[in-house]
Amino acid sequence: MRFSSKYIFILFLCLVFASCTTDDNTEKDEQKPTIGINYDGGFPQACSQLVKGETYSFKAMITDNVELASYSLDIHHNFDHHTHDDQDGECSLDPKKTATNPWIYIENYPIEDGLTSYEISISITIPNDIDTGDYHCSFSVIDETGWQSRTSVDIKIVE
Amino acid sequence: MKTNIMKANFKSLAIVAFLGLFLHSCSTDDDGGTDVTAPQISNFEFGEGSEHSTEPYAYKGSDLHLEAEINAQGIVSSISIDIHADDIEVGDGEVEWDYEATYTNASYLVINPTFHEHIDIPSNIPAGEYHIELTVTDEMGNSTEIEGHLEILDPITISDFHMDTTVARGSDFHVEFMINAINGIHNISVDIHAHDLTIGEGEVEWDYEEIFEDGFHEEIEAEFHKHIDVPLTAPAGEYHVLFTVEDEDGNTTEYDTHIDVTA
Repeated sequence: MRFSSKYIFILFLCLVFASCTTDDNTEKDEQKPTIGINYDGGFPQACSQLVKGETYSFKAMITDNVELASYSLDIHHNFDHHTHDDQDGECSLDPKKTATNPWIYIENYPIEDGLTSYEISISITIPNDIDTGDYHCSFSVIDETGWQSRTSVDIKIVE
Repeated sequence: MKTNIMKANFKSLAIVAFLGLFLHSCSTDDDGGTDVTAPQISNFEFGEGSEHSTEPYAYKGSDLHLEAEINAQGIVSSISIDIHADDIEVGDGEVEWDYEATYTNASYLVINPTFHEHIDIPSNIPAGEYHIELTVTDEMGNSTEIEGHLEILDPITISDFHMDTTVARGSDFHVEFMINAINGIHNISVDIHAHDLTIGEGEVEWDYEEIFEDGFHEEIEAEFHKHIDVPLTAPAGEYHVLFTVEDEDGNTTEYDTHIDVTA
């Protein structure tokens, strides 16, 4: 009798410790993913001129310390000269104008599981029936934890 | 016998105590998110900035720029905007503006999104002070709200209006006023006409319409100062005078008044 209750005590003690240790080592991911176009092949570079009707491959490198989840590309007009580019150098902007048929491209793409680095490559043909002028091109990336990073450049669409 | 009962009690007590400890030790960790802090909102920007007054402002008929940096440990699940006025009188031809929108774009549903939207401000709403509220909710249901005041201004204003109230026909009358037009003045039209005046012997109905553009076109601030001739043949009576200022974006503002033409 004494022997079996001792066993029970030890068993419970083990359970108590075992049940509590697991949660302590879930480390928090505090790092944002990285995104960059400053490498050979990164496209578009700041102040690039894109021709209507031509097909371009939009490329950026993304990395994360844990796991990448998804990325997106957002191209919208900048006829009103709002700013949110983070790239070096000032591009010369056309005078402000009112948009009549501006181009807008917003797409999200998932990334296959388990990757910590990836090269975005999206092939896009610039539509023929859109307003030419200044545009913003913005890449963003989200990691599995939910951190986001983005990079944005000024580009120009010409005839 | 007695010791047996004691022993049994002690054992069951010990089991209960350990079970209690065992269950207790695990219950707290299950909802792991209770220590997630509510979303934080910083650098909330809206409108054109505040160089003219202490309050951010925006013009009717333009678009309202909104931007904020968000940090939500619990991952953003929605961002909503509410713009309304508390006590603004709605004038003729104006409608109340109460704007609500909720954004759940994929690019916002992260820990650290930058909220950036442009909202069209209608041109037929009353000018004045509006409240703007930005609410960020995370996946745990925590939400944070930030609010501010936004001054909605007319893109065209007419001020310091002075005009003669009577004029003898065959002479001229004087009118002057200031125009402020943030988008630049396109033109100013003047329309003077009367209703149901009896046209007497030797008189001719007077209907004056003129568009002024020289010296005003593309100006942001201008003084309109004119002397308008009233023909000798105009029937005497009350005339309706309407000034319309149009800006480069097609917005218009009217100012109407009356003048008595005497014989």
